[in-house]
Amino acid sequence: MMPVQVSVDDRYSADGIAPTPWETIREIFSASEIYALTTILPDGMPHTVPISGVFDDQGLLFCTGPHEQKALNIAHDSRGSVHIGSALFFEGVDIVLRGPIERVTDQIALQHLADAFIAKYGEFWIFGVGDDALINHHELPAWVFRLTPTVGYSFTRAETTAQTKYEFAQP
Amino acid sequence: MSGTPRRVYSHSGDPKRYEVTWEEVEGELVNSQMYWITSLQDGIPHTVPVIGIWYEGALYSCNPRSEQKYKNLQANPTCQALIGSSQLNGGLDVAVHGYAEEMPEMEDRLRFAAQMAEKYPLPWRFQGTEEDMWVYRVVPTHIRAFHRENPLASAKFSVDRGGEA
Repeated sequence: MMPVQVSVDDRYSADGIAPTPWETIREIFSASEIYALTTILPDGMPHTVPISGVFDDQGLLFCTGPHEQKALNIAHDSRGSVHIGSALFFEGVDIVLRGPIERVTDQIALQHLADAFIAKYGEFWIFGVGDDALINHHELPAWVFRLTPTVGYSFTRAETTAQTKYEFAQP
Repeated sequence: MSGTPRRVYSHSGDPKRYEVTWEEVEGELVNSQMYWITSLQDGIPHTVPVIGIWYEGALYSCNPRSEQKYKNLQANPTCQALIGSSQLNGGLDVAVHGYAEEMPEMEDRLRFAAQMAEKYPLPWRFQGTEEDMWVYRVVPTHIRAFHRENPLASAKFSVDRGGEA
């Protein structure tokens, strides 16, 4: 997955600063242990929860119980956003990716995700693979979703302040 | 402006050892240097990092009226302010659900500007008198917190606004 366009917003960036390369952003985003996933409650309010996830070539893969609020939200409105950030003022980078969220039921993709979870988180997340979902340690299904970014933003800090926009081909 | 948020839900891996308290949540809200504001742009969540001050039970922030989130919050004041950590086993994430409300009074703007100057070593100084600068607060209706250290715990707090919201 590569952006088709990368641009710096001069209004919120240091003079003459270059866009933060997507490669840099992809690496930081992939390595994050926790992501903040925002979906829309049926009453229209944004709803953000911390999730674990794996960023692959197409987007952010994560899973949830079929009855959890975020799964209900996605069924109602598939538009979502995911972000990571730093709580420090002078350090770190904030990254926001926005796009549609779709369920993944393909068994090969599910197995890849189960393997990728162990590779990233070790013994913390161990899933089996069921017919159309992962199976958690309570033997309950965990539905898998992928957020496919259509647009992304990064925000760097201090002297190198830059707000960079990444536009991706529509899926 | 309202009473202390009341815990309406609590879940803990070990309630004898740990439960999320409002004092802990408020401490994190006060001390965080960055906040992420999510507004709605044509119904799509729009999240941006902002700086701000938590006091008197609300998050105060400001931005030029030319910004996207100003437009979003004018069209729909529903929003969420978030703080948290990127580590799997660490920190307390807090999501403040509520609505944005402009603070038009100069007295409030000046007080906010003074607090900003104290909290942030900014290369520029917000005076409070800039007409273009929109000063607002996120007035909470409810607050969710996720404790991501052992023992894992979560809680929800509700704010009684005495019928004002």
